[in-house]
Amino acid sequence: MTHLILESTPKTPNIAFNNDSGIFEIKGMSCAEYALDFYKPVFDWLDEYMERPKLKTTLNVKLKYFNTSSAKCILQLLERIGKIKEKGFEIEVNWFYNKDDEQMIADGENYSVILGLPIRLVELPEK
Amino acid sequence: MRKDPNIDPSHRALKLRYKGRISFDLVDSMLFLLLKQLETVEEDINTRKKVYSVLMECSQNLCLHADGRERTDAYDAGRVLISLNNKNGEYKISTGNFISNDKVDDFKSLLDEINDNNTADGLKKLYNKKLTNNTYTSKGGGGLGLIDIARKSNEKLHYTFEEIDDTYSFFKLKVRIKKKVVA
Repeated sequence: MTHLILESTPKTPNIAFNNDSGIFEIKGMSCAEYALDFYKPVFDWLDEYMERPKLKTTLNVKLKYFNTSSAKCILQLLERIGKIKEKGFEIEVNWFYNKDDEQMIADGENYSVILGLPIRLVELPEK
Repeated sequence: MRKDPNIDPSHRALKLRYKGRISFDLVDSMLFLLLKQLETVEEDINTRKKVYSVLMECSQNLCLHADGRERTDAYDAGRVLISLNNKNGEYKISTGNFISNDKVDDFKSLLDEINDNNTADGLKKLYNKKLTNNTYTSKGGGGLGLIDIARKSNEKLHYTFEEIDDTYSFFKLKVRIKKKVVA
């Protein structure tokens, strides 16, 4: 299968999911009113990947902001990563935040708790 | 951007006001402008994010749910109000929109449920409950927007319904976000 590359737009994040390395990055703004329209192809790609995942899958989440419509989609994305773990493969989830962004830290912790998924919180270097 | 001579730069005033029909494109423009202004007037990243996200959730709700695109001689049911200002150490966001009378009861129940759970923990639980249920509302919003607004505001949602006629009421929402006091 091919890699999944979606260029960012003002309201949707950059998606770079590499099928060879198993390294997936989601970066930018996620503010689409109907977020599911954007994330559905991402889910479809992941569902296919999950049939034969790499030995290790790494998801790097570098979101500046996401709306509530996206919040559900992000949950579903993380659930899929959790399923890869359940199949016995290694996973790593890195949740990046800007210094002092309490909301982003809280969101990462919340997803970790409600999904029972290990999520590393990583502070982004100041520009 | 040209400087408005009426604004005292030391007050770092922020003001936004819109009355009219709404669309996603309009919301995008408004939010883009707001983000730029917030970055210059508000130093605290958390306050910036709260204000931005409340305006986003309010505006997107208006687009998704504001009923009635008919115009009559008496009123245009597609018009909404949005305002934001920062005064006296807090941000105030207000919205107004027409709502079909047959939707008022269910909507009021949702607002009351949110206000009844108005503690940090209560709202978090309510938020997570809606986050993890597998349904999307028919409008695609997921039902989370208002809960998120209440969480960011950290106080009860202030709202009124005013019956206009047999078909519509007018719903007003006021949200306050206190600026974080930097020690």
